Amino acid sequence: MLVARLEPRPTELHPTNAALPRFDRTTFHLSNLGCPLMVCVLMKVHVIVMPKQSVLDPQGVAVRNALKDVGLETVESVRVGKFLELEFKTPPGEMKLEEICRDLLSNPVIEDYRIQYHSTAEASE
Amino acid sequence: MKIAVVQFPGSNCDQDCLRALTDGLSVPAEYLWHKKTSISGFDAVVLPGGFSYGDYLRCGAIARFSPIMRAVVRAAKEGMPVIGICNGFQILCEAGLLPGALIRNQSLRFVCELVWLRVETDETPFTARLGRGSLLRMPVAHGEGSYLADEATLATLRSNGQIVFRYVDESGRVTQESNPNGSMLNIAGICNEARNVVGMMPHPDRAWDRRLGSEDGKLLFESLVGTLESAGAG
Repeated sequence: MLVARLEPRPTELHPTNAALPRFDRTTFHLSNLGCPLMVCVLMKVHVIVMPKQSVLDPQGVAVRNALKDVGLETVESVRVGKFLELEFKTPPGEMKLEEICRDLLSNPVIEDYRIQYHSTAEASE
Repeated sequence: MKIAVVQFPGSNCDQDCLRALTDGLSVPAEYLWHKKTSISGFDAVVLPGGFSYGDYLRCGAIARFSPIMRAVVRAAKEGMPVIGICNGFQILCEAGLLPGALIRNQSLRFVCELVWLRVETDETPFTARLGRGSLLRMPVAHGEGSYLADEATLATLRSNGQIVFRYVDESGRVTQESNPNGSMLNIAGICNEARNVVGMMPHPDRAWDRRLGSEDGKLLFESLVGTLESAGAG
């Protein structure tokens, strides 16, 4: 099995539209490699959830203080958020993804999120 | 009359709530597993405290999507009394039945202590028998109980009288020292606009017998029973 990695630049979508890279569950041939390969494109979606700027982040304050204690005196502020990696063979629609980010992965009262689309291609003979 | 105590995976105050109702008040109450999709036959719902789904993602974030919650939301919108205690309060906020959110205590400490609460309104099914301004003693036990909402929401809560309980000192004054978690306006409990859904961080379910250190929590459940009786739920 040969695994090829396509590395398109991540597309950030926040909070609304930007072009979604067109990686559907597609198979095609890499004929220029001399042999036909079936390529299945996986889409990785990264969701970054951060406390809103207006919300006090006591965890971030504690980490900042610890950083100062270990000698990083120049650190001004730290905010602690979450990083989620979702993997799809069949990516959901943009609307659906926004919906799950808003309703489940983040709480809009206290958090902001952003979505990054990546993709990896797995090819096999 | 029958009251439902919902059990989520990770609930740990379900037994306290059930015993408060059945032993403390001799009111019929039953557990309702979160996979159930109907609450027909019940007259009120208690969402108990605990760590539903291990508090993964955010407190209450996953429980909010449990099958039973669809029925709870529907019943709440039709006027059924619903109370969320501690984790139950967090679930109600996540479900959008109550405004605002509960975030990590400002001290970063898990607080586990007896507090004083002041009753801010008697216009909910759970405070109907309590005088406005009366003081209650009951425990808090949480790591994420700091109530937060934006200015507009806080203003609405105030003008509608939706703040149900506030943390106070033993003489009933709202002070910074009496706020165990950093909640805005010392808010310990709120209700929805229709006033039938109440969420609170302190535990009335752990204060219904003198042996527990306080009986004040019983007053909330008595209020509920009184409200249901006068509404005709025999």
